Amino acid sequence: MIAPATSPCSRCTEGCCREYTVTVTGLDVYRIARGLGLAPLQFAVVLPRVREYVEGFRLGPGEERFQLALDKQHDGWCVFWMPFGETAGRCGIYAHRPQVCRTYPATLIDGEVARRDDVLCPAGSWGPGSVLASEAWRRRAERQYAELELDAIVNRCWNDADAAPEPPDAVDAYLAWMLAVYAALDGDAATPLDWVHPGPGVLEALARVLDANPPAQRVV
Amino acid sequence: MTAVRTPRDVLWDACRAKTCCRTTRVALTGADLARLVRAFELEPEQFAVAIPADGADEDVPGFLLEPGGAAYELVLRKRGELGPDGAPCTFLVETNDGHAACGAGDERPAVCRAHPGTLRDGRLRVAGGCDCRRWSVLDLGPREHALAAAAAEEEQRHAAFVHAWNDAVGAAAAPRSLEDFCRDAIEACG
Repeated sequence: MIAPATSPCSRCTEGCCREYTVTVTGLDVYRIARGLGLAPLQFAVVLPRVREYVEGFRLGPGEERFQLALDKQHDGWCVFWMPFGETAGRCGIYAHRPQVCRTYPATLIDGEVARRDDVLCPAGSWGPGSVLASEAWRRRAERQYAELELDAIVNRCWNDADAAPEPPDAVDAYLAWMLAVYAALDGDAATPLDWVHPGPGVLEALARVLDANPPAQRVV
Repeated sequence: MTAVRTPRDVLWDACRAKTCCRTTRVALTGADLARLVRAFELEPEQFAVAIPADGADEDVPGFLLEPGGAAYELVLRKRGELGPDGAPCTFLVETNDGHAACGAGDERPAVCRAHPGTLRDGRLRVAGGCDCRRWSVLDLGPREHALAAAAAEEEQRHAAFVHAWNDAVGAAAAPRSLEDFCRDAIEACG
């Protein structure tokens, strides 16, 4: 054997990249679209909200909320999954992968980094003396929560403005506005998107960006 | 956050088919091998295969596995059977609407990073292999020049390694394995 195996994922065959619906934030979609030069709907799909804890976005006058998820290949694997033989595979957008994939299988429980109890990772694969209890994993988990918070702020702005036109334009209108917001935030010198903690500076910059980029009012 | 994208990057991303990733035989250097093995934690045989060297490459000799035996070159695997249009590179990902992209990202082989730029006699030129676009050197800039120079330098180091490897194989009594070759190549060039 030549290859290093610093991550238990290297030899794992449980298929988290096939089994899960990978819900993503607007910032995830922005990063992938920017990084690969793709349009969002080439790799993401719009689903009725599947995670109750997210704000989600409206696509019409009703109260129904939607969210974004990575598309799948016909056999259920993530659209960006690269198979290497029958059982092995790797992420094809590793540098741009969604924050939830970076953070998996960790989460924060009462401020402590812990392994989520709903993951597919074989028992003991991350232990003993779990590597998850490191500063790097803490940063990933905190970042995941921070990005969900930004996503909620952005979507709340959209939802409150009652901006969605009637389908079928609603998805396009939402994505165009959302990408413009993150592009402006990315271009804001005060808040490069590689921040670690969503400090007041990031939230202030987002407020500025949302002020300057109001969702269009719905034409009645 | 966003890395600066050159005109070449924009044109490259805009290409849907990535024909060159299906029809080109991508020879790997030890440096390529080292990057891919380390970054993806894959064994070389999971993404690379040794094929008989056809002698077309004058700069890099084929490598031997036994004294007086056949010469090989190490190339990226293709996914599935080779058809008239080739077969997708093992690192190619494709969206459901048919837009292909390199899944190896910045870890991809040096020659792919530089593509379609290549260095010939110290000058930046356009390499063949692309059916989707007729590239011009005007599509390339200083960064592509630097990438092509880096690819050429890694290829030279690899050629020197293969010469030394072949000398050692010629002098040895027992054959060597492909895994030995890969391990030594990574050590020498990585």
